[in-house]
Amino acid sequence: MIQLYLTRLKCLIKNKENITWTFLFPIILSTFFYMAFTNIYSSLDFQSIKIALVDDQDYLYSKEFHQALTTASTSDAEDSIKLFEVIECDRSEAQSLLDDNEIIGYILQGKDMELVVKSSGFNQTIIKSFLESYTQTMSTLQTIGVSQPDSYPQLIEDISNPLKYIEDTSINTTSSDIVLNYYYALLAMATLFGSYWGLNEIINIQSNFSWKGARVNVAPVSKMKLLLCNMMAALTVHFIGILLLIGYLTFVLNVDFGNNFGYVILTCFMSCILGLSFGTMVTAITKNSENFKRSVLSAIVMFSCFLSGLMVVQMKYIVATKVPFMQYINPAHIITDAFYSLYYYDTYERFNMNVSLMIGYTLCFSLITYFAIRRKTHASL
Amino acid sequence: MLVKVNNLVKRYDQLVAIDHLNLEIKEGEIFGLLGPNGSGKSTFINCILSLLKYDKGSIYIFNKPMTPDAYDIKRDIGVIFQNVAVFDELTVYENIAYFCSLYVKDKSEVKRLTHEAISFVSLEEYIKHYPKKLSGGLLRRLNIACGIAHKPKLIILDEPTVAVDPQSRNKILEGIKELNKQGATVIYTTHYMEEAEQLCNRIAIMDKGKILALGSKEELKEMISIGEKITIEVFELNNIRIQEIKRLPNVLSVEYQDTILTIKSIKGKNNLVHIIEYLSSHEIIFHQVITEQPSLNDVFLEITGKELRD
Repeated sequence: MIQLYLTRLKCLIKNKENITWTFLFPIILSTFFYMAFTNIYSSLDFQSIKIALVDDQDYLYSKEFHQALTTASTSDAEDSIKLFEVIECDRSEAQSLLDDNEIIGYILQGKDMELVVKSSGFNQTIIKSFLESYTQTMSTLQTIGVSQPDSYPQLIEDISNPLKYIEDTSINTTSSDIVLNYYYALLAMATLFGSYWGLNEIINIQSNFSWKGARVNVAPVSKMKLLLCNMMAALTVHFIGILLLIGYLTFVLNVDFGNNFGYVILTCFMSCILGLSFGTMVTAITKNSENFKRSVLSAIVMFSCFLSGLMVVQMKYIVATKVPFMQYINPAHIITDAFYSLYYYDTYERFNMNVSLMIGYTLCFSLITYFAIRRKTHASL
Repeated sequence: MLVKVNNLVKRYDQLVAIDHLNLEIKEGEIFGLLGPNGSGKSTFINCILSLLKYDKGSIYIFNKPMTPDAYDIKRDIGVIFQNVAVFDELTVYENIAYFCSLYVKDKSEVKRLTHEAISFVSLEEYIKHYPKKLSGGLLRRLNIACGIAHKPKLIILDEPTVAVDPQSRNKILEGIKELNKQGATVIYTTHYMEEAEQLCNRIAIMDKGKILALGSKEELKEMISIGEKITIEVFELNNIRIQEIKRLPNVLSVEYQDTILTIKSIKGKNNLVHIIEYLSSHEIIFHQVITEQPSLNDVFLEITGKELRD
């Protein structure tokens, strides 16, 4: 048995096609992801909006505005970001800075405030919203001040110390990172590529699929025992490949899999078995050529990974809302969700459910495979 | 009897591939199954190996019923299929050792048998080569080595020389004779009559799933009416002369095509003399004269009305 296992292992390691698809392709794809997402990260970083405040004769007219702007331009917390970076200058200098794109816009103070910008955009809208909010608040204050002068000091106090009615509570200890979903889907794809190893093992053991299978079947050795041996070898190679991928993601691309690294490895192991058993089942139940079987496997794996967000991360959420049952029958989604739940949740309820589904599907696929290949003689070869 | 097949029937839907076939193969013989493509030879082999389900009949090998789980029988059978069945990722040595290890558990024994098989098929120079680097002939030899490395008592070869160059073919046929000398019983299927004639002690001629004739090559040739085939190169011959030749004693048939006159006659003395005398007396110029005993193709032709390679 050990000798057969070792020989099969040697055979599999030298199978260039499978090694490329299960080892190299995910590593190459993850590198592309990394290169693409690095730009996304930098574009998502919020930069303080540079504005100029014109300190002309009207500068002192609005002390309140000056104070409001100063408040928005400073931050107590170390990690929070200032909304504005304010430069005080005269109008000609402000115009010059705007022309050189050094600032987004400049504000002219007076009875009616004016915002001068060069173009429309996200940052310009933020400045405009800030000014409108300020103007509205001031207008309200003035109205109340006229009609109810006694309550005016209290109102000022309230505005200075706004109450928070909604409190932010994180569901976990880690920060959310949408990009991680891509890597989870990539890992799901890589583990499900194990189905190609499963395909090879069934092809090589069935006399109605290959001459090698015929040769094995005339030998005095139990087909199931030999299949088990070969599957163990396939699992070994496939799991090593996935460990290499995890290592590459973690140590080279610095992808953070959270604090449950042991469970991440366990999930990988379970999904490798799931991938293998899926491949054996599809191969055993389809009657056509090896190329056809391979194409069917590729199509199913890629489609299930697409639905779990490999190409478009929103797809995962679209599926979850529009066709929720797909979450439970899509192997790639189950694997992706297991990684997701390990990263985002402090409890293991969802993870346990995903692992249970993986075990269930593996057993189901293995049983179907067993019934499909248990026959030792065939009607035709 | 080493192999006994009783009333075997195998159908593919409406097609009867093996039609109530009975056969006995004796220990120590090289038994040939000769028939054209599609005659049922491979189906028969796959049935006796329990790879194919058959509709009716029974198969006994080494006096035991052959079943898919009959590992004690399988241990003493070696099979060489018509398609090369080796692993591209393993070297010549590793392939032979792998298939041998399916039969033999002892590691050192596997090693010894693998080296013997390599030497037997003369692949010593190629032990570290991968199958993709081997020529067609060498691949066939590797295929044979994988099937016989465990020293089986019964060797089944299903058209092992298809698409093999003459040099490798001779090597393979010599090897089979050698295996037989060493004590193995051989079942050899082919559609090359020359191979069957050269190799087999007994031959079964198969067509449409039936055995049409069975015996040694001499016995088979005795079964047909043709006793002699005479071929003469004649440059000019009209139809009247051809008809006259047909009326000569013992002549069965006459054919004249592209200056070659082919006369088939029944067994009898002076057949050639009668023909030569006729040609000389009618001043017909002739050159090369060849007389041949009937071939297995003639046997097949007479029994089925078609050529072996049709």
